[in-house]
Amino acid sequence: MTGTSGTNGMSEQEQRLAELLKRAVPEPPYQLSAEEITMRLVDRSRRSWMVPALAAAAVMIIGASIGAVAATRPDSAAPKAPVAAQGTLPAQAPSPQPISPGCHDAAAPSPSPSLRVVGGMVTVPAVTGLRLARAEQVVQQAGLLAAVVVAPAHGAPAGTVLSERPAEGTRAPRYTPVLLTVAAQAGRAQPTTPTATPSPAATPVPSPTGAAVPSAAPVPSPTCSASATPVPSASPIEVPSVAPTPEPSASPVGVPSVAPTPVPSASPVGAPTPVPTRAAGVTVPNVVGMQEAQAQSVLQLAGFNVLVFPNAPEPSGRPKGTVFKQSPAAGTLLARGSTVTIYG
Amino acid sequence: VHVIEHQANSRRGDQVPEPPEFADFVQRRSNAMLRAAWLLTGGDWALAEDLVQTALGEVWRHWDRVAVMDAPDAYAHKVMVNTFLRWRGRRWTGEVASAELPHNVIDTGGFRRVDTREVLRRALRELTARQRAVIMLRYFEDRTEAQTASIMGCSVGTVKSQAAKALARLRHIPGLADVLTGGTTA
Repeated sequence: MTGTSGTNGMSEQEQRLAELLKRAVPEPPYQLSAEEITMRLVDRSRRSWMVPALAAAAVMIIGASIGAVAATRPDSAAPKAPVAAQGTLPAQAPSPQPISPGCHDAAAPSPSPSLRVVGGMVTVPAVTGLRLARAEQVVQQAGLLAAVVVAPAHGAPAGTVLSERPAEGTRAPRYTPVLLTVAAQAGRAQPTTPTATPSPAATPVPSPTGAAVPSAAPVPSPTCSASATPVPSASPIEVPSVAPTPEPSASPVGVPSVAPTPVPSASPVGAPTPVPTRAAGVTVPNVVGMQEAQAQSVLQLAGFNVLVFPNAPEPSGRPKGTVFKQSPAAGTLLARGSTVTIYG
Repeated sequence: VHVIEHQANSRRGDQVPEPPEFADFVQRRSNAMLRAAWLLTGGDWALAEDLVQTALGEVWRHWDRVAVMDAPDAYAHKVMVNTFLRWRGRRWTGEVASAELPHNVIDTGGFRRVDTREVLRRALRELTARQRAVIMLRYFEDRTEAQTASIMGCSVGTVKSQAAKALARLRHIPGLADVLTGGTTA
């Protein structure tokens, strides 16, 4: 071009262009923050190892269950189950008791065949009146999953368990979610819709419980669960060594621990309408505003892996230790076993 | 979960407590970088944001080194331009073939600025990625040919030829021709 000698010498045209550019390039509609950038990097590096890790775990589990299936029944249908869900199992299932995989039920009504893990029946422990953290611990030690719903305290000390469902003493399949209703902190506005979502976390055993519980009644109807799975609750369940006498009436949750269908697990309990779900997905519950630990267990119970960033660079003025951001946002439909990141 | 958390913890240990200077740097530079990225990406804010975030992410990863540089700004822009040029093959570059272009946008009164912007946006998409990079560095950021060449990792001759080609192309964009040749003062 003419006049482009050495340094900034520009031709007239170039000068006009330069002027035009400076005038016409708009101001950005937003600002970037350092926080966004650092978070994004961490997200990305997480993804880089998550995928292979999940894949490896899934391969191992599928391999193991195929072996077990072959051993127990000559079932030709090799399970090509929801991989993500299976992959998370080792991380989450606290199983003091031997799990016998391999009850793959071919007759299951699920859209996609799924693996099953049978853990037997356990007794729901008494946790009413305990602090939430302790109650969760007890429930988990009993081989169940703790789901948390916050309710107005009505005078009870904040953070204590007001009630549990199914009731204490009930026999329930392992990994059944026990819904703990916890007293809200006084003065803290509680949403009328509870925050928690009961559903077995990483168990490949999404129970119809998840569906039954939120569907309305405080007491989940047995019919509901019965219709949800044609599998008689007894069949896949091995008689647990730990368990006392099995109650025939079963738990209110009363479902075979091994429902194959990926289930709507993310509906707010007690909400007027259960969140619609699709076969393979789980709706991400809202955990913003919760304590980190609580948010974590809620997400885990909904079937997600949780990546926690405590002490993340925070917007000033929020209460310490509470989750101020979650990714993906509440309401997103994700595959079970996906990772939800919370920033506390 | 525990594994994940553990990883998160260890990661947090060395990464998340970002140096305050980095936050300053982002605050100071992101505006200019976003505008430059707007040019590079042919007026696509979403892509521009992505680009700037990626570039700043790189800067952050090497912040120890960058912070002591004479010109961290230039380094950030270099990373951004090179990231952008690398993206060419992988991403949709936003070039849209369009038959009709606005005819005389200069005479549109109060809407002139917006129209000029729209013309510019379309014009940019007529250029190649390298041409856009040269245009941005040379005319938007007023860098010398030598600086431009060093940022892009090419020779001064290449900068010259790319700039010339870009200008020649822009001259044939209806809305810009007048502005560039001085037919109408904008």
